[in-house]
Amino acid sequence: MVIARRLVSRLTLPVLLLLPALVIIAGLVGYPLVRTVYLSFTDTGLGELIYGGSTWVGLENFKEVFADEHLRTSLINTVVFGTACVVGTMVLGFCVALLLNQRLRGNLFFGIAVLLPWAVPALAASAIWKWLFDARYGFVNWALVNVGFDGFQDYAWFADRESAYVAIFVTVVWQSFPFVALSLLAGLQTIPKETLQAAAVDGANAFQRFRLVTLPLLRPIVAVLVIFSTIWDFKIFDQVYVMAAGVPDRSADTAAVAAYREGFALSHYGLGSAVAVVLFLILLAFALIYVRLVGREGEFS
Amino acid sequence: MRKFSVALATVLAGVVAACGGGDDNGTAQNASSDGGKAKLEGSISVWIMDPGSPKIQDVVNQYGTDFEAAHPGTKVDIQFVPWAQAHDKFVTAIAGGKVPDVAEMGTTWTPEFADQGALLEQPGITKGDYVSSLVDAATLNEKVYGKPWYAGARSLIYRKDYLEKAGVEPPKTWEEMSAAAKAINGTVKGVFPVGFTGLSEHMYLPTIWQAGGEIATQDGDTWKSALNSPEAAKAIDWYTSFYKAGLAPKASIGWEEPDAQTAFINGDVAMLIAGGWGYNSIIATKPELEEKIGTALTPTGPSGKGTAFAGGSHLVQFTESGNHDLGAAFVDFMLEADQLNKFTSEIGFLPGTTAGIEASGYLEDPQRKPFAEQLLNASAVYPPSPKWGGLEGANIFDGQIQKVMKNDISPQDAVAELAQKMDEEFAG
Amino acid sequence: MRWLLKRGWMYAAMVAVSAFALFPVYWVVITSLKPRSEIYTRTPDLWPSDPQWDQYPRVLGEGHVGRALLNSLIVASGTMVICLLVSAGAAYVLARYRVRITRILLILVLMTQMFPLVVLVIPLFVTMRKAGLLGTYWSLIITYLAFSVPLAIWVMRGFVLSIPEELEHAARIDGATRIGAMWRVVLPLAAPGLAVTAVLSFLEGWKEFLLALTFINDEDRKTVPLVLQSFVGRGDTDWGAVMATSVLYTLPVAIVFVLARKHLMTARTAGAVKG
Repeated sequence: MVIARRLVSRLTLPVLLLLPALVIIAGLVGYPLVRTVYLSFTDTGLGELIYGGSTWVGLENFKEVFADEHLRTSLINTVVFGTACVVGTMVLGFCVALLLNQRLRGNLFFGIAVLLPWAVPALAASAIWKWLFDARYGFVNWALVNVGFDGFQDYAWFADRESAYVAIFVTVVWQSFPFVALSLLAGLQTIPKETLQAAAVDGANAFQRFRLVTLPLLRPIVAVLVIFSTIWDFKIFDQVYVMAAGVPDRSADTAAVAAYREGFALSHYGLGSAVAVVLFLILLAFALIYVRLVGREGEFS
Repeated sequence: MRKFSVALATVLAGVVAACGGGDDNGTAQNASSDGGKAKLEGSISVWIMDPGSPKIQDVVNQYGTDFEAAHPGTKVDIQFVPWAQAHDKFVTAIAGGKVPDVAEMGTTWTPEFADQGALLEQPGITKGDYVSSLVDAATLNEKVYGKPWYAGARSLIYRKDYLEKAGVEPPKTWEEMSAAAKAINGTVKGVFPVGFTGLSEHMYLPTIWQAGGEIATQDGDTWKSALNSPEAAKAIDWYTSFYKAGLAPKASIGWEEPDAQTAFINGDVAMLIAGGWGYNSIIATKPELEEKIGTALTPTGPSGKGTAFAGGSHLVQFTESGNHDLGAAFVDFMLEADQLNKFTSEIGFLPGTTAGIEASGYLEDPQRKPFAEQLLNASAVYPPSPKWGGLEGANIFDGQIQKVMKNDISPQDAVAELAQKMDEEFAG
Repeated sequence: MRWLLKRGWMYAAMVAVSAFALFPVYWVVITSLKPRSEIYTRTPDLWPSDPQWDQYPRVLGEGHVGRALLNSLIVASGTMVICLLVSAGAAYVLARYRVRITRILLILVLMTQMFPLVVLVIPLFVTMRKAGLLGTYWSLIITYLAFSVPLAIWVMRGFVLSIPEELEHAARIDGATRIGAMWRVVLPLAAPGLAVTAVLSFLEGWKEFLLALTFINDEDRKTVPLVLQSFVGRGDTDWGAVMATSVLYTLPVAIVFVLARKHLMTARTAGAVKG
């Protein structure tokens, strides 16, 4: 009895602190998630969406996802291109955070400059970069030709998948590195100077200090950033929707765009949901692997 | 009491529609100013596609204000929806159970939503009163679900100076267009003869009609693709020949229509397939071009026809709307010839009613006349199948055309593959 | 010379990254000052020959951008404040109570973020309709919370983890309650994390387009991304208005960055850890 009461009183605080967040998340996203999973096993079209009465089709939609060339490609695109974006964002974000942490002259201006892209909505950013990469009126081709790469005269970036991905990669990294840089900078600044000084006294050079002191202390934040960047970049929609629309045969579509096209446009909501569920499973696998890797270092134990 | 007035209004509307006929404007006006006045009450929400300019938004908002003034006790809430996302917003609203009362709808979407029972049948439509192809586009199983609001068809817009320099006349046929393109390429430096792009089905699909083919045929209430035909292959072959021969910009494989228009505005392209709205936009961007550009009907293909796609918007009412009478009255108010022209003259489309077109003065304006003639005499609509909106939304055509442009497959294989994809969607 | 070797490349990198970050923004600014006929040119003008400022009064007046800025501000700040309140406590618990269930909760919270938004739009619309919230600021704030709280929890938890627990124990030995220790010790030390989270949740509300499009119909309630999209018409796009609105849209955020630079970028905590 006493033990039970003590348990209750010990649990009150954490439960009270957790509850609002969990209620908001579960209350809002819970039903849509369950429904999406359910739809992925049915043949729902617009009519069934309005009036109900869809038929259970088992794994048919999932078979279709892997049988259909366009859908299969879109999933592969997602993994390959998404991973590239995560790596690019993390590398640039890390470099910028380290630079900002040097407190050079002009640091303030630099800090604000790199934050600005974060404030631009994805749709607008995609439109601007699409314009900058325009074959005839774009700044990128003009600049490249002027520094001597004549091959870029009227170069059509969006006429095939690889070059379109270069342009989209630049756009995605441009938009997402500020958050990574800022978070890492905040992390760098919570590292006690004394720890680094102690390491310096022990004879560690800058690189060793980074590897042996800074990196391990930043590990929890880096893990969070990698996990969320992966989720965002694998779900990428706006940039691909705007910039890859003209790539022949839509071969640069990613999973989210494919799910949208199957659902909203073609009215195959079951199949569209199945694409989303497969993407979810891929992301879940990635997340569990990350958590495992980080957990081994003791962060989760 | 309320039930009675609704019933009375329905009967009245039926009577009005029955004697509508040739004098549609007059009766509509009567219905809204005399017969309707006592009974119209309540409020409606109206979704209109964003015209892209605050100035034109104001024209539409004025409709609401004027209508409310003419019918005290009514409230018209006009809400603007961006074009690019409008289809999905309709889907969400219909599936989510909260629709507007009245909406502007892209003509190719009307059958799709009508098929789901979302739209109200519009009684008493007499084809002669409206642009007839747009009535076809709103028809599903012989019932009409939308009233044509505005319409447009693409014609040829060309640079007079470039054609003169190349020593060619504005092309009237496919052969002349091909020849003109070659002539321009040889003589006018730094200019691409045509702006045929990879992502504009309204440019390439009509060439199938021009070649004498069909896009799909109806059998009862099912549709079957007609693309797997020599005519369609010939059309795609001709359309893509310009790109393959370097007579269109290399990037145009990934261009949408506005990109081609931009190139034309900048003097980089000599001939463009575009509508009256495109013409308006070109002149608004660069007024000095007005003297340099000419307009003509779309060149005719081997069939002798220069058929273009008739697009535009319907005004529709939703079944789930709680105020059908007020909705109908407001739709008729917007379709009165002089009201209609306030809007269409701004956006460069033609009115969807014949009375509106007569009042527009388009037929007297030499530069704009081809657009009107194209629409009235040489235009057609895509199959009004409930599935068409989806085919369009998913852009199933573009990919194959692009493959042909890149020489990855032959036109024959492309149309065969397209026919198969279309039939899959028509069936499922 | 040594200075150049040691620091010079850093300055070079700083300039290069700034140029990369700023150029598109600069491009938008100059485009907003160009007359319509000069927007597309083959040789880019890096400064308009005759800057035209009239787009700005135009979009603020007839374009109703002022009203939209206010709406965006309400929605974004609402999201930010509630997000901070709600996720700070949750992050603290999930960082300090290391039992199996917290680990499962963390994964569950993460899982809610793994579906593309487009497949969730219709059910979210239905939820909002049933709650009677369609068209309100709350419909947006609540939904944005569902997508910003999970990230905020994870980020803040990361920062809390990096604060040595011994500091809290010390405070509690001095007689502070658990909440007191959290408030007085952990919160100040986690300030950079809080600042990052604040910016993050604010921008979630500031930039979001698809849900705003789905929930909001009233002109008076439209947020800036919606107004921005409204300049893109069927046959014609009002580029001048798009560009001027984009500038007005980014400006308040830039100002916030300038004002919050201390919290975002200075090492106020370094050294304090020991105390």
